[in-house]
Amino acid sequence: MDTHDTEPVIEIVNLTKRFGRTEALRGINLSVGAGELVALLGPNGAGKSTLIKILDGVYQPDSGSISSRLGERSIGVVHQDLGLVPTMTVAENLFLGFRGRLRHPRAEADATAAALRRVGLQDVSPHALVSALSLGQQAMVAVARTLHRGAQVVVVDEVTAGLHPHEVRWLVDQLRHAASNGATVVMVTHKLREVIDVATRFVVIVDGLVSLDKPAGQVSYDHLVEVLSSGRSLSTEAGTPASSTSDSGEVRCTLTGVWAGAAGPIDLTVRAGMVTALTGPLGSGLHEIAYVVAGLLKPTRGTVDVARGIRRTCVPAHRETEGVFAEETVAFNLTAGAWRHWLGPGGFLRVRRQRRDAQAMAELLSVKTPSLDTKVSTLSGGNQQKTLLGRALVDPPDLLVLCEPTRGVDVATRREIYAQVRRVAAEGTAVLVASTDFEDIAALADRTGVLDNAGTIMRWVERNDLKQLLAEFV
Amino acid sequence: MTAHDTDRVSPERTVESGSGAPGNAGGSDRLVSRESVASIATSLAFVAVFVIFVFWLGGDFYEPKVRMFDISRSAPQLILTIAVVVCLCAQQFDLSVAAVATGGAFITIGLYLDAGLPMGLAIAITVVTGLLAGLINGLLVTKLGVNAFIATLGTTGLFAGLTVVYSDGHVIGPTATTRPLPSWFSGPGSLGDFQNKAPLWLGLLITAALVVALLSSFDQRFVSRTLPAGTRFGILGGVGILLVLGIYWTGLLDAMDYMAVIVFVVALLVWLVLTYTAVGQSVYAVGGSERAATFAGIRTGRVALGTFMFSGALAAVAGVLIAATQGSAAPSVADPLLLPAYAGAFLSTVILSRGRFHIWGAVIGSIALVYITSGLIVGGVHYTWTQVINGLVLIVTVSLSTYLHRRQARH
Repeated sequence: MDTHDTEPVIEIVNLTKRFGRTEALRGINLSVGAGELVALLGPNGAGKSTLIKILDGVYQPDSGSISSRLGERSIGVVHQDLGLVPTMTVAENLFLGFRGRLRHPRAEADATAAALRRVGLQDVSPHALVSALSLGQQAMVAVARTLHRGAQVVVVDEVTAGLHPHEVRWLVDQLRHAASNGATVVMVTHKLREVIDVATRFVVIVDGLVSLDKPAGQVSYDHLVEVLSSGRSLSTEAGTPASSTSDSGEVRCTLTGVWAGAAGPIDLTVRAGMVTALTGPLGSGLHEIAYVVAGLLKPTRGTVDVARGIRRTCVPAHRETEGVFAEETVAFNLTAGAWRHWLGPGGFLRVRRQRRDAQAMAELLSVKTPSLDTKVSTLSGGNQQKTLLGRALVDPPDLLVLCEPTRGVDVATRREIYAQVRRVAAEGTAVLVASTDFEDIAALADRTGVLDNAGTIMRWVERNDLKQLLAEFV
Repeated sequence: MTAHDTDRVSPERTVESGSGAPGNAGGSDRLVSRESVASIATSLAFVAVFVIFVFWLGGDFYEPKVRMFDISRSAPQLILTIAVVVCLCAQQFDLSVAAVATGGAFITIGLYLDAGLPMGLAIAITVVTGLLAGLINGLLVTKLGVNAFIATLGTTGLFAGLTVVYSDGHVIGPTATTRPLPSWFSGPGSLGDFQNKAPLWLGLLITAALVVALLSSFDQRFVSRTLPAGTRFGILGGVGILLVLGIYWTGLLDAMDYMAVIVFVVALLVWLVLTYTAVGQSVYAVGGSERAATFAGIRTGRVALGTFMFSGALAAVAGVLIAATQGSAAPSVADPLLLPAYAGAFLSTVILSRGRFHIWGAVIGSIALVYITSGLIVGGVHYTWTQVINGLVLIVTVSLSTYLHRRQARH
């Protein structure tokens, strides 16, 4: 399948783009051939999203060119939110927005079936509601729709975020299948592990330049990790457990026979000074259990015992909808909900002290922002995530709940977040991590509960046995 | 990874979009930002309109007594604006404020004249009733999940209907057979009388407080932090003293009556609470994103309920003011105030703010709106055009603020 030496479908020459004083792209050169599955990797802020937005026609490049031998509209982008209408059928979604003719349901269904076959989705009915499909299938429907609209090159932008590892594996295999049927797929991801054995080519963008572009056969996993982390030391990869003794800390929260969301019955103990983790597929209800521990959700059944008078904070699973106040400043986002910490006389806030603490937290977590008064939505995803972690830590909690703490975050930021979480755990905070991402578990967990699809904990895995869990994930 | 490593990461990476370079120096070293230019431009537009009026209508348009009278007679409208703005800050709508204000006027007058209660008690009961009306709205929205628009439209019918039932469609006020309203409440030399001026020290005190509030707002929003604190406070303090003296010089303070005093004091208190208390900040948090607020540990239902109760109580206060100025309660008396109240509230999104609702913007915007309509009327436009002007201003502001917002998002 090594088709990198065929005539290129798309040729990007010396593409540059700057925003104010920031050079997002400093001369990207890239050519992609037919039938390739290109993994486009790079840390946050490297310029990936700018490149995608230029390919998508959202931005105009400052200089350079994109030429395609298949014509203007041959590049299609599938975004993370997929852009499907969940309450409509697959066929309706494929033909949404086709103008100038009457609807012809049977012909549309046939065309849809053909489009689905092209991406290897034979067993999905054109008449199925999109909401009834799994997230992986939905992503492939979005790919099928893009191809159906005449695109020869599909750029798939971070669609695997939040998917269960099994589903990611399936999705990547489907994309490879679509590529072998003649389409060209460019898959943008943070997680190298997802694409390592499947992609036909690896392209790494660092600081607005292509720093690596090699066919799969000529590059190793270790080398890619090294390029991706821009030469930073890898010695901390394995991580050290927050505490060596698993059952010594004081109990901060106990769940007994708790049902919440799809999960239950769950028995769970969160102790001070150690990181307890939950992992499992997305639909298993692990986040709901985490929210119950954080006191944000009432369980449908079961009892929750929380140590008296403790402060609980939570970093929610969905940064955009549950996490940041997009229209507000970084300072507001760092301190929202923790105002009691700065309560002064007469119920008024000590704003100066509040600001100083926000500043200190931004520096501690190295949040990259022009100022504390910058709107948080203008920061990169990784920095928004660090802001949320900062909010959870600014008034030191006794119990910290983290859901998908590194979702959509690059390698370097990921390590910074891990370091901070391990630090607060070592200082005696009880930490609960609920994550579908195995790297989070491997880096943080002292003890991990593995949930199955039915939402029950199959077993508890101690830190020393994590290797065996890894084998299941990959 | 050690803290040392974490620190080392910082200088190498850049923010992908946005104007700033990494580090604290970027972006904020400009004295004023793009968005503040837009909001200052809007404010200048109003000043321009004012200047045009002065030229068109002659110096008479600028007569402190008349200008202060405009504020005084629109006191109920301004109070309603504040009520509406607090709800909008939390992304809630309260359409029932006008009906609650009408009801408030009836309850005050009715309790005093028909039930024979002392006026102080009548006013207290009125405010509590407003609070309860807000509670009904709030419970409908937060507990039953009814859309705020529909819920408060429904309660508008309820409250307005009850006033009609109670009054049988007639104006209720003191007659020959009833006792008169207390002399401090209504009539010459009372709270509701424009000729009854507030003492100068009170005017100066309020002006000083307003100037401090405005300047500290300005300082937090627009002025660069790279200036040394001493210089900043020096400049702002100087400007503040000049402003107070300037306002004193205009003669507006001599013309200030108790209605205007009430408006400014209420605005100050609400601003203080919104800006400097946890309750106020949680109102903004709920308005920013209800889900995010939930996950930040804020009890969003209570905050929303609280804003409805607050706007209900404040609307009842507006009703008391109507009763005081008019000396009676008439059916639908506050209805025409709903549109200008919302127009003023939305003006705050383009005046002195970053596209969000803001007390000072709303108060200044509302006063400017009153001046525009009264200027046009003085200039010969028939007063029946007032509603048209208010409607136009509401549409133009909302379009403008949406447009500015979209442009900003694109950059």
